[in-house]
Amino acid sequence: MTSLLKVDKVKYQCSCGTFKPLCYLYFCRHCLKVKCKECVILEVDCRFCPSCYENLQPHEAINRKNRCQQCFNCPCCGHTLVTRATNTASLSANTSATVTDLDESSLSSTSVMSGQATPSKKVYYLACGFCRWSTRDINLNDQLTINSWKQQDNIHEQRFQELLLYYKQIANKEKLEKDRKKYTTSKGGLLLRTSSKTDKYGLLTPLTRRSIGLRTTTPTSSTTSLRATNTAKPVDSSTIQPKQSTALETITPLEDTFFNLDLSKMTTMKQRLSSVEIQPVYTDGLYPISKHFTSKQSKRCKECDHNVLKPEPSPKVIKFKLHQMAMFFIPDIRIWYHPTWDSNRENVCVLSIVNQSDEQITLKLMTIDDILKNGSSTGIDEIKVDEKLLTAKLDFSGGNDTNKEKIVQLHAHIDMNETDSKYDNEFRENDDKQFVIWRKFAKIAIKCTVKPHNENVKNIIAGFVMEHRVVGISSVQTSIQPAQPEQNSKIIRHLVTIDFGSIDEPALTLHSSLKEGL
Amino acid sequence: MSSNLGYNVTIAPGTFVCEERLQLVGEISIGTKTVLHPSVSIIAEAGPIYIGEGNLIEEQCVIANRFPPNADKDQMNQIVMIIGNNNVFEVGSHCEALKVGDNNILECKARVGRNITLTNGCVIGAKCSLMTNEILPENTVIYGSEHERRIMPDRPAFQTHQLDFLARILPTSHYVLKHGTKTHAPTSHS
Repeated sequence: MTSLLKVDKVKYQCSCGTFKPLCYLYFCRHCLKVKCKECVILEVDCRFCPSCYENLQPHEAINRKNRCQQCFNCPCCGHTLVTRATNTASLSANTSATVTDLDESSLSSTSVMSGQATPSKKVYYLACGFCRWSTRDINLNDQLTINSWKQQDNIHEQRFQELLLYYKQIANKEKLEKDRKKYTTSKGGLLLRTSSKTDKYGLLTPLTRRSIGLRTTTPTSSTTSLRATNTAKPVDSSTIQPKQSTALETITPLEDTFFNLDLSKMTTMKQRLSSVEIQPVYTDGLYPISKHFTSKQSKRCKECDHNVLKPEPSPKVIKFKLHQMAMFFIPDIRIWYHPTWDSNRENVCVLSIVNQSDEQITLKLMTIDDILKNGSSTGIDEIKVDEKLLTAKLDFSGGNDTNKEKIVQLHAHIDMNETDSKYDNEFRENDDKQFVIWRKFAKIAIKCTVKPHNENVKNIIAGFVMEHRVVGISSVQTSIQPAQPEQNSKIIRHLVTIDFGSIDEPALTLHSSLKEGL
Repeated sequence: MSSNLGYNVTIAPGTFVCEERLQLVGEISIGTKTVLHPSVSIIAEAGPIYIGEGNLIEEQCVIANRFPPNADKDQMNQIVMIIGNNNVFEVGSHCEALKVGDNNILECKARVGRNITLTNGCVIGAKCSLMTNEILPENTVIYGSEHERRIMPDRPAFQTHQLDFLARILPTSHYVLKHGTKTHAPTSHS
């Protein structure tokens, strides 16, 4: 099982048609369909700091620009900064003579002079354990209290505010316009088109503003420009125009000294862009970066609007209120063994199937050829097979058996102690010994053959179809009638592709007892 | 000490060299106040190794003065490897640099090649491998999987506290080599 962590070897087809590893898929118990990241809607449930787990209400978080005030990232490498505490007394003993240390030593000497009441006055600074950056590097004075670090002033703050105000205004107007559109009839539209002088009360201001926009884009249209001149004055007086940004014509040329760079003192692009507001050019301009909030998200099926994933709202709890990962409903398939590849013959491979669900499952395995020949049976969602994806043919019976559909039963995934080997034996009797070569609890190993389509195949990708019954949640819950178990159960099919890797890859190891079965 | 090659080690007074799984080869001199944890290998194949004062060499470190590749081992002159003072070799680090100055730190699993010269106050980050041919400027920090570099304004702090602590604790639970010169003749291969 060398592929234990290589989750992208075996991919399942999502209901949207894309192929994803099983652990990245969700399962909607209402539509009874597999859903991937693109088939669900994200909703942010709670925002919190990943370092101190401070949980904030959405509006509060937005007010703080989605950043924590107490936790910082290293501006140099991006790791979390740790607060270090030192005594001022011990600092004075430090022999290194930087400006800050001199300051502190003078501070400590004064504290000693003033009396022995506070001999160990603690000061705090931030340091990175990874790249050894610290606030002392940029000559920031140590703080007397934890987390009293000030935000760096943003020199563009005023401009931002100005623009924000302006955009808010525009947003308001657009909203007004939208609201009005709901009530405007075609007559109203005509009215506006014929004469703009009817706008006595300034109700149509946003619309006329739009016409100004039109004028600027199409100055040739004379009628609109006329109208604009009529209404331009009241509009301008009612809005706050931010200062226009001006285009520079002349740029002072770079000084010759600019090219005598000391690269060790320059910041990298990544460092510069991680503090967007300041964008320091030199390393002494780096400043601790407030940590960004992260969020817990719930996921909702796009089709039926039911949740497929809902975490607990508290950031400290890792449990889920609703956790419908496809892993818990659909058997997990992994590559157990493949031999050294021979493109001319059928290679015997072993796949393992694990039932992760709480219920016993009866699996029907079919080859791609079966599906293409027989088509879909009634009541089962059709599967579209794109044969270009596959470079090899996967068969379950070595190509000589007529009965190509393989049916196996799998135990529920429960505690091993609760399962008796007796149950295994029971299923074992029904097994096709040539097909199921090993069985234990909810896990089986099946034998299959893989034959590359031709000799030019470099990367072996094979596929098959798996069919089983799932029980969903009935959408209408009636309390009087007990829900019938078969009511919302459905047989579903999955197209599974297995990427066996390059044809040159050496054989995987297999236990000797299983080797005999091949 | 399990080695079938001979060694000749000089240990200064006040040095703590744990005997357990220690591997010594060739001519070695260890300065005072230096602490060697168990299972350290010091291999002076191509020439003697001189280790200065106040160094901290942690578990599974390898400090080796190897023959350069493609060298005629019999014809070659001896090359001396000198390690300065107050360096820290963290767990599993591997140092083959012929010149190591003072106050350097090799973090866990760091690897430094033969053609590197570590000056003073350099930090080689965890799992960083440095096999180039260069002299590192003072106070260089190398960190991360991309081996990013930066220069610190300061040297890293001294490890005096840790050394004092280890000097107190180590002899209580480990066999420590006594100071003086010890020689071990190479065992003949049967």
